[in-house]
Amino acid sequence: MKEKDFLAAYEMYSDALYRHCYFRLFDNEKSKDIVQETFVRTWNYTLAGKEISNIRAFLYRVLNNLIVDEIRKKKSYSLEDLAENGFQPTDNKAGKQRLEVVSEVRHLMKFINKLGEEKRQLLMMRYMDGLGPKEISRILGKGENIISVRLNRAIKELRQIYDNGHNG
Amino acid sequence: MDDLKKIQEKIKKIELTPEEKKEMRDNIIAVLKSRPNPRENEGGENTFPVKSPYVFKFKKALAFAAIILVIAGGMSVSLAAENALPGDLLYSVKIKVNEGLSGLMARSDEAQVRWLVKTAERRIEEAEKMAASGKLDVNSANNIEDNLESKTKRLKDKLNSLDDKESLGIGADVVSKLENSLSAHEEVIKKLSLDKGEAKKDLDSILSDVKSVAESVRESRKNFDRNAFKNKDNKFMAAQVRLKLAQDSIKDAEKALQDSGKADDETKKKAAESISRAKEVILEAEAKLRDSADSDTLEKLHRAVGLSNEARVMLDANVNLNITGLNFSSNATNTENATSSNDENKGEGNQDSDNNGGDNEGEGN
Repeated sequence: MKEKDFLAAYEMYSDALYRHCYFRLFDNEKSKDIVQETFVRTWNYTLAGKEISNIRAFLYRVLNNLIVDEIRKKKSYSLEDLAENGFQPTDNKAGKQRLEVVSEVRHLMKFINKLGEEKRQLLMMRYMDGLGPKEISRILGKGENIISVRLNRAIKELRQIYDNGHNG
Repeated sequence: MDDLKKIQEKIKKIELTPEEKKEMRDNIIAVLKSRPNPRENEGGENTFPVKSPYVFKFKKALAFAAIILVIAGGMSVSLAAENALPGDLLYSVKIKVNEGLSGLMARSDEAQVRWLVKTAERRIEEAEKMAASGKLDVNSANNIEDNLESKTKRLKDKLNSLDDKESLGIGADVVSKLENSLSAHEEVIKKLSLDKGEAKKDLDSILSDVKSVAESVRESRKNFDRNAFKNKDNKFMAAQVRLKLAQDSIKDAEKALQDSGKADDETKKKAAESISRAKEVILEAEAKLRDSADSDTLEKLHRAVGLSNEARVMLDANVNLNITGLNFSSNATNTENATSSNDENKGEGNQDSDNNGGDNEGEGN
């Protein structure tokens, strides 16, 4: 892969990767570290002479592995931790925008957090990152049909949790 | 759920600031230029799927109530619950009372590993029974998979936490048994998936989980076997433990054959052949043990466990699930093939139901 293509991929996907990581870990600094590491590892992979046919899927796979490693080190990432570790009160516009979104999303994330990690991950890849079942299947190394089945289950379960939470 | 879409739009606004993006790009370029050679672990490691930590908190009140239930004549309830399947009234008794009590009583590391292995196998057997009787649906498959996930995560954590000495015995015995059991169940589920079209999607999903666990357990077992050769005493101990396991597995398989009056002749014949080959492999391993124990000895004994386990599973599937035509790849006729590892044999000509003919790039792992 040529350097200019790699940097083009960085411009195209870094925001989406950061966003995905942020809503898995709720840690701004850690998310930036992981995204950076994702690109470094990807470039080094190409330096070894290996071909990457789908850069987006590859980046997500590397990112996902790093997130999983991080989650294993730290037992839980919660919205409660966000205020202390992941979010610095700031006067700048970006900081205020994140605060606003997180506050609004917090309500929904409480329902999503009741799902298992795998289901949460699938929903985020599908609805936040806009990845299709085929791409998700490549990233996670599972069959496309299985991804579709599990996505449907995750949506159904989230719907139940959401309805119970609103009506209960 | 209308607010979902609005929130989705807002989430998309979360991104790196221009300054953060530039800083990161500069960092990446700087690192790349300072590292001309690629690092070894590139593309990220293939990690065991991480599931939400499952903390099994058995409240004292519930434990006490369970004990009272059993002692005060609830024994029949507890026994009846043993055959319950997801969706049955007594299923929660099976999980929370029966399995919960066994879990509480498992004090040593080995006992806990055996309990986790047993409960994981029970989930797989439940899925098979439900599929065979046409009762497997999306909800029951979901319940089974969730429970299987949490058990296998705990099992992996437990295995990783053992020190070398503790892990030696467990690795030689329990892990070898589990790996073989999972391989056998993979074949049963594949067959059910072919026969029971209406449950195919759910079965394929469960099969994917079982394969993932089997792969992880295989890795653990191979690590144990490698560790066993760190010193002379360890490797002999490991070989002796596994020899006993192999001998016990043959006894279990022979008993299953003896009790399999309802099995068809073809299945009985194949099971008898598997048992016979397992015995041959043990004899070869024992001959080697007299001189020294090496990695081949451990592998042979692991294979013998696999052969007798397959016989038992085959008979059980035929009698209890009405499955015929199970054809384990181990049904080779000469004992030389029996020394190959399970995964090598199973790889030949078998289509992985997880892959739909798509890419199978090794990148990122």
